[in-house]
Amino acid sequence: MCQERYFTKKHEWIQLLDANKKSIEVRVGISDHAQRALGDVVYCELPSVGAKFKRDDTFATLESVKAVSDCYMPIDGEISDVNEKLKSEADLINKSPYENGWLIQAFINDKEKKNISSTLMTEKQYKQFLETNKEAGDH
Amino acid sequence: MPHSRLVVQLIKCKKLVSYAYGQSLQSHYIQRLAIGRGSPTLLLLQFEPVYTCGLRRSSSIITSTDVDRLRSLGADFHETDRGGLLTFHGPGQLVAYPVLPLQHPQLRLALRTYISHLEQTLVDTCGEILGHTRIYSGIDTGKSVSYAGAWVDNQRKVAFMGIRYSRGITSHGVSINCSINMNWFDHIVPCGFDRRQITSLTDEIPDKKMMTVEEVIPIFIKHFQKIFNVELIESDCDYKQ
Repeated sequence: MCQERYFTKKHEWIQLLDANKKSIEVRVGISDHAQRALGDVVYCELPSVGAKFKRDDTFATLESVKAVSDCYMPIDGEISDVNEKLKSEADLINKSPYENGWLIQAFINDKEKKNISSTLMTEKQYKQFLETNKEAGDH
Repeated sequence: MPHSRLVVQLIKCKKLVSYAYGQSLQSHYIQRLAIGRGSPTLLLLQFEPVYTCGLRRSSSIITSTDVDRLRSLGADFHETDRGGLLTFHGPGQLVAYPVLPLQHPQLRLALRTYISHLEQTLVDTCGEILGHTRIYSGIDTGKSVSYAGAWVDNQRKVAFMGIRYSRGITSHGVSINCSINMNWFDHIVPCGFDRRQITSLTDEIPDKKMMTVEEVIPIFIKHFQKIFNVELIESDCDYKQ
């Protein structure tokens, strides 16, 4: 059973995975708003398992119609898994941004786990954030 | 409610520059903007002959043997972190790098809107020169990613795009084949296309009249200002290598 998602201002989402082991693991992807803003994703460059990132570091790059853009870590973590399906089907990010189009999984510590709910937005807060930050040309 | 236009400084490089210099120049303006001390900038350049590839550079796109072969032709070779595949830059080709903060209150552009505006600028510029009924946009005609740019008679690509968007600031940009020596394109699979699908403005004008970069620049500037709703103010290049 999956927990609720939290969102960053840069349109990434993070979700705690079942914590039945000693380590705390999260899954990260980009929001539906982000995938629509990017357009069709044609290529995805993901980090290696074991790579460590701090909050706000670039952990992946996505190429959509003629542009390459970055994805930023919502919190500190160590990569535990990457979505291999994206190598051949990068557009899963567009078709299923919250399920099959997830980007990475990472191990985080207890402090970071607390940071998720205290520093990031709930889905409801994210929806409000989108309303008040409408970009020109948004649909 | 219309907002006042964003002022963008226009920097025109007067001479041919190396690709490495062009990237340092671009980085200079990006860094300044990122720390809040610079201005949004549009750089216009012409490069010494260079082949470049984008973020996608697997061996199905380019190998080290390919790179050696291209260098032996007298051109440079660079890997970049922009979108798009293999291309060539050289004298007679206008290269434009808009360094813009898309989330600036006077812009507020989603990335795909920025790309669409940039493509429209290419289409309107080339349309003014060759006739608007002859020019087609790659993205709007509903084709796949590689087609972004401006197409003559919907068959031959004359203007190209490859963008990078990082930390809210755009880099890299577009190129327009004006009077470039087209033989350079014989040695690669440009943008993943058949060589016959690449052209220049000069090659498309009847009776072989030349269309130079200098003649294209004012037309490009005019359409860029109009489509992005910005004010371009020419500045001297203040970056010394």
